[in-house]
Amino acid sequence: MNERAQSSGGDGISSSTNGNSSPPATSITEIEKLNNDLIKVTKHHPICIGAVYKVDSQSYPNWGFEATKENMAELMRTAGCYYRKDYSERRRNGSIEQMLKTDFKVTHERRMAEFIAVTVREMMRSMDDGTRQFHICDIPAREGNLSVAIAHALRRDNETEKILSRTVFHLVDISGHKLDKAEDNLSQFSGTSEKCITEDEVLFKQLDPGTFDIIVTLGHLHHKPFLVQYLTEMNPMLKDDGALVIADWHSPLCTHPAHILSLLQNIGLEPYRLDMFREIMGNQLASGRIQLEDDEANSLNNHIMHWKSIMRKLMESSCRVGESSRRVGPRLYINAAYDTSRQRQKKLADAGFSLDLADIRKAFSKAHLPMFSCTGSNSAIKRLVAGSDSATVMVGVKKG
Amino acid sequence: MKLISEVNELKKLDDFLSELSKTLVVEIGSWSRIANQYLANWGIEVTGKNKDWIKKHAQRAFLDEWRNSTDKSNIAIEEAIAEAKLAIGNQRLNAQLGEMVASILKNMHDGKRTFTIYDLGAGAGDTTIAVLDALDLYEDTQRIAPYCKFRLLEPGSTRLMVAETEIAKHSLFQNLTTPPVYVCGAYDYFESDIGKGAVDIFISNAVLHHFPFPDHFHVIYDKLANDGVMVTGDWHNTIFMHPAFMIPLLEAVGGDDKVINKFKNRFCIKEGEREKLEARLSPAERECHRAFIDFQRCLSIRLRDVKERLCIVECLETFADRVKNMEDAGFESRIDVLSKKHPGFREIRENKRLVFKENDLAGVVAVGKFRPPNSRKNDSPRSARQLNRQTA
Repeated sequence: MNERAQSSGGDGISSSTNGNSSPPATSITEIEKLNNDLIKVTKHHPICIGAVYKVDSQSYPNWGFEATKENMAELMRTAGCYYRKDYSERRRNGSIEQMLKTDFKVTHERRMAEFIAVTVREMMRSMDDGTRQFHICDIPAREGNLSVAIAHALRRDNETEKILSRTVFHLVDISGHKLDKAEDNLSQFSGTSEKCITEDEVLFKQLDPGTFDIIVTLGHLHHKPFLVQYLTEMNPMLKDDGALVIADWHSPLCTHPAHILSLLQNIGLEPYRLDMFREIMGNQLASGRIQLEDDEANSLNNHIMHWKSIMRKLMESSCRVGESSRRVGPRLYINAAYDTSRQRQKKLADAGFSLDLADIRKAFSKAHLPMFSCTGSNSAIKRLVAGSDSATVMVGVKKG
Repeated sequence: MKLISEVNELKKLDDFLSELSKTLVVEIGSWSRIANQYLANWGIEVTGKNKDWIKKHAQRAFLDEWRNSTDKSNIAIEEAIAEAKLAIGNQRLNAQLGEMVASILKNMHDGKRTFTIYDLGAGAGDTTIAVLDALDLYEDTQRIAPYCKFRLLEPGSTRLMVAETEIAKHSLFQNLTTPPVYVCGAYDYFESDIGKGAVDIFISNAVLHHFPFPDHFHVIYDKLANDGVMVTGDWHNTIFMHPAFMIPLLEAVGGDDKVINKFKNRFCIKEGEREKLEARLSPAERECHRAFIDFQRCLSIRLRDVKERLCIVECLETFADRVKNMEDAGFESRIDVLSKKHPGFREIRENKRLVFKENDLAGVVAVGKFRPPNSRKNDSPRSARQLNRQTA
């Protein structure tokens, strides 16, 4: 254990005190002021803290505010706006994606996709009755890498190859351009696909319950600050014998401003900016940090190293730090709804999913499922990075 | 067309291609980068006298291009591959290769034997990571990891460092009793790197299309243990089988009528010859040409932007030719024979796997060694098959 903990309720509404004398802010005006102050810290710097709304809502109290029944809708809306803004910036400036592709991210994201692919293949083997039509939902499909990995895994096995012709991949993404590529890529593996150019939350409202056999998602749920609500809406989209297979990046980086301060120091932010940050987050920094298990501390370290290598790339690409906001260089945002895999398990359970290995094995009794291993846990969790929580695959089935 | 074989004439041919490339955004590249069995179609005769010179010339041509490549050109390649819808190929090749290696290791594991796994052209470690991923899937294969000794050879020191960093983060890394060995060097280093019979499994992905002559298979064969296995993945194409196939490729990278006519004249390509030759290709082979032309078109656009030049010509060959070259070096590739006689192939139903459904653009093959060396077939260069000028 490294640091001291704070916790909050499963619905994103705080159930704890934040460890300092002043109560967490709940008024939208106060939260907006905090956000604006924080944005100023990294103004005109290519690596920005980003909007505080985007962090995991369960960590809001660590940042000095909290979600209540009254303000939650507005916080959700604002967080959504900021995520959409990030997306538009990425679309306008292609170099952002390129900058964010570090060796660590590329290598282990590919590994997560492969692990999901084999897991899904085995689940489908177990579910198959020789005639079943499978509907796999890939959120967000991006350029189809995950769906292709699944289709290829099915094709590599003589027994499951025939299932591929009875499988429809529902590719969900807000970029029609990416979906076109995804469809093309998938077509090279006999995969049939249906494109859904929409936001996932909108899609959940449009679909009938029990539409999908399996929902897969890779590197996406850390963009959902109100994840329990999101997963609760997703749950009915699955058939009763269906499964959710998630691979995501986990890190406590954005769960506490002290971690962000450490990152800002590591990427060499100027002292005056660090002082600004300390002044704004003074109470929260003084209140102590979150307790971290060793694997979580390692994932924090990996996350900081990831940003350090991005900073190095920015320096090498001669993107000049400190220029006006009209400069051509990309702006990259740190804050997102990252959580630890332990927090994620709790959220999945709160949204009606069971990660119990016994339940998973029972649900897919004919599957030769890969080894899920997690020290001291009976959950279907696979950590792909040694001694770290960073890249993790989880499987959930509907409870009861 | 009269075949040329004198070194002076061969050098002149390179000068011609180099001169022709001046108006293009890409280099055509040296003819020596073409797979040796297709050289006759290009008017080049490989003789006992010029063979070694050609080999060295080709090695230099590949090395020069590699030395001149920068981050900018590498990003351009990456983007062009993605745009030509080939980006998924390398990942799929590695996944397929990893799974095949894990199955073979499972068969050969006896609880005692240590396996030396040699990754030639390891790059950023993706192929070794794919093997580790496949081993990491199940308890029975995880148990093999402590018996695996990986050795990675890669000429690029930066990429090798990435490999070392990322492999050290692998969930199975702690199970390896011997840490992987990272060697910075080109293929010539491999020749002297380890002794005969020292390797149990040889792996390589997307590398072997840089070897115009199949001599390396003989070297690998010698370095493998008596029951050693070679599992390789690579890109395949017939586009360099005949110079006539280059015409649409040259057009795609901005070659005007003048360039095309000069090229046609030099290689005596008659009116309608290309169409006749293409008609003899299978739909899958034609699809491979289309994909490669698409890739080069995308790449040339990007290279123009970053003001860098790369070569078009590679020693791509068909999947069948590749397997034949392996057989000529003494490897057994027939699965019915392997599954009965080779311990690594028990219960393995397929040892040749193509990645895409409609072409043989990318494929993985696992071959085994168990024949005594004296039963090796003659390794003299084969004449250009199928599409040589006489039959055309």
